[in-house]
Amino acid sequence: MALASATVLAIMAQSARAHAEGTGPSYDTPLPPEPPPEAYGITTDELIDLRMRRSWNDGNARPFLATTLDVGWVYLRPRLSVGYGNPFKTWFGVDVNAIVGGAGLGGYGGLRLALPRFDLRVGPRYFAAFNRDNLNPQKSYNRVDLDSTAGTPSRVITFEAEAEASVPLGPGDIIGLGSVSYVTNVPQGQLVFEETLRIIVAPPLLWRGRGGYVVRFGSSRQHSVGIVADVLDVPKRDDSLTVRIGPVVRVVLSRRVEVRGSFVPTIVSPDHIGLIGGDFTELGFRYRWATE
Amino acid sequence: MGTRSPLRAGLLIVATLTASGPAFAAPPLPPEDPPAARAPLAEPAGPPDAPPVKPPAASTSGPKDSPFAPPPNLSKNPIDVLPGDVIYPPLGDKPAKPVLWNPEWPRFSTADWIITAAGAAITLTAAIIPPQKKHSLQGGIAFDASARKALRLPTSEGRYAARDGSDVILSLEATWPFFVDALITTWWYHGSPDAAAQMSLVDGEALAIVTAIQGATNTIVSRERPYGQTCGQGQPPELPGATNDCDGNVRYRSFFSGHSAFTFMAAGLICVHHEKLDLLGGAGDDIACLTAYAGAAATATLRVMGDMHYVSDVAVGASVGTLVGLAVPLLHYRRVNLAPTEKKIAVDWTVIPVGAGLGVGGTF
Repeated sequence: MALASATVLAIMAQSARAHAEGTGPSYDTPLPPEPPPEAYGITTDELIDLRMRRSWNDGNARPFLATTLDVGWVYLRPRLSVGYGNPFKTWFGVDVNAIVGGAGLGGYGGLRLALPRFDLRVGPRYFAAFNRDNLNPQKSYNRVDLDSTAGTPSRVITFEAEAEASVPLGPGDIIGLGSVSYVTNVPQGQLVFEETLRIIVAPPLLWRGRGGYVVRFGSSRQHSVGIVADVLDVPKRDDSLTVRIGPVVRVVLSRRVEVRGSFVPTIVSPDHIGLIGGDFTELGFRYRWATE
Repeated sequence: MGTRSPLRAGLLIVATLTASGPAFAAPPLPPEDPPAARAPLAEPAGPPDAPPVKPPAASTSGPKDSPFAPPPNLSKNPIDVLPGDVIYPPLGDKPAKPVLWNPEWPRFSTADWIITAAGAAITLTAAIIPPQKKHSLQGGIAFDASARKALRLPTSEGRYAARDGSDVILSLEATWPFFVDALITTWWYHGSPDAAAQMSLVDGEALAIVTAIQGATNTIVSRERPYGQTCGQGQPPELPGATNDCDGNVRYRSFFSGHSAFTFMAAGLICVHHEKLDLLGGAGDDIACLTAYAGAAATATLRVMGDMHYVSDVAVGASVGTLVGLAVPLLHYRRVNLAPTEKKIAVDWTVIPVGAGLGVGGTF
């Protein structure tokens, strides 16, 4: 038993080192010599597979397929991106993602353009709520109103355009985001709770702005922590201005793995729907993958 | 040391031989671009660029109370962790002490996988099947009524706020053992993917067991939640009948409290992992444990204040959560005899061709 364990460990050690050196397992048929790393457009690093890019920014622009998986308590948001450029960084293409959570099921698909410090996406989103109905008009809503089963279940289609930008300042970045949403598939004269934007909407229009500042830290300044403020307004609702403020944090462990958190509760709103009206991730895990 | 483990002997030899192989040091990294120039484009809060790569840290110590010298930390190489991934080094120049899964501790086994899968299946089934029409438990028992009277918040808004508070703590505490303790602290900060994987699997097993017990129990017992007494009652009704709380299955899932069970389970996992693996070291581990139990206790209290549960619901939930949250990891941290030949005095050496070199294993 001990010997077997030792053998396995020894093989693993050699295999790992051989792999790390880019030579692959050498206890089998000798492999042809590797091209120099520069041939792949990447930097030399003995600790990693030489054929792998160390950063999503590495390498030339190319067609790619990428996935992002967000998991938390309790939601699952897998996203598929197909595009041209450097995945997650500088590219254009199509984003498609499913929305799976305790509140319902849905999906989004749209076009995406990512440039240095600027990101634009446009597309429709569909969401079928498990437990929320279209709402009869009221000046203000509370949780009981939102929890009502007296109406028809909401099945919302939202067309959305969102632009995001950042500007470096001091130890971090000023971040800004603006979006315009066109909410449809709601019965005439009724309102609806938009599950992604977390606000009660009198269709069709809704706009949102976000500003904030995040401080960067870490060996490559990859982590960030900061505070953001959201302002939302529904033109067809009187006194509908909604303001949220709260912290956001992002801990980037590797090129692929992140832990994210946000806690942005509502502080000004015509409604009294508690944390349901806030923007929360609390603690979430993100895994990214793309074709190299 | 009285007896020596053959496994340890083998590991020491392998470590010595592999350490004497070709140099395993990272070359100097090219100079980094200024962060501002390399800052993320599409994702303003993202990492600037590729992480600098740290050389593998030498294993310097084993888990708390381990009689073993540490095995070579083979998993240091990022390609062994997630194929194709590159890990950012943690903060600070000094590598953190690796966290090692003691070879005497049983690893996550096929039986564990079966238990976890069965738990998940029961959970899913219980979530789909509505609570039984016959309610095995109705109303309060023992001091439930008096506790409800004392703790239930007077306004509907206050009760919803209490429910929200319990949801926030639950989501933080239930994910903490996975995302913070295993992923950030163990895998990334301590550079110990193997221990992190074992921790996550153990956490997942405990979660599957608790969700299965809780889901099956509340489906079978079908106890009405305390607020159910107010559904459609009064003029105007305190809680209209046509609401999810009154109309839906959730009304009869009072026994026992899932929030309490999950948070106490998470507290148990946090405490055991921290104490056994010294994740933070010193008082940090004790503080983590105490904070986790304080959060769990707050959650249980908020569930009663929000009129979602009776005290008996949260007490049973806390008990089940604590039991599973402590027992499952402790079963994995117990020492098992892995070496039936441990008492042999014979010496046995074998030379093995390994990759481009030779390995030697032996028992004595």
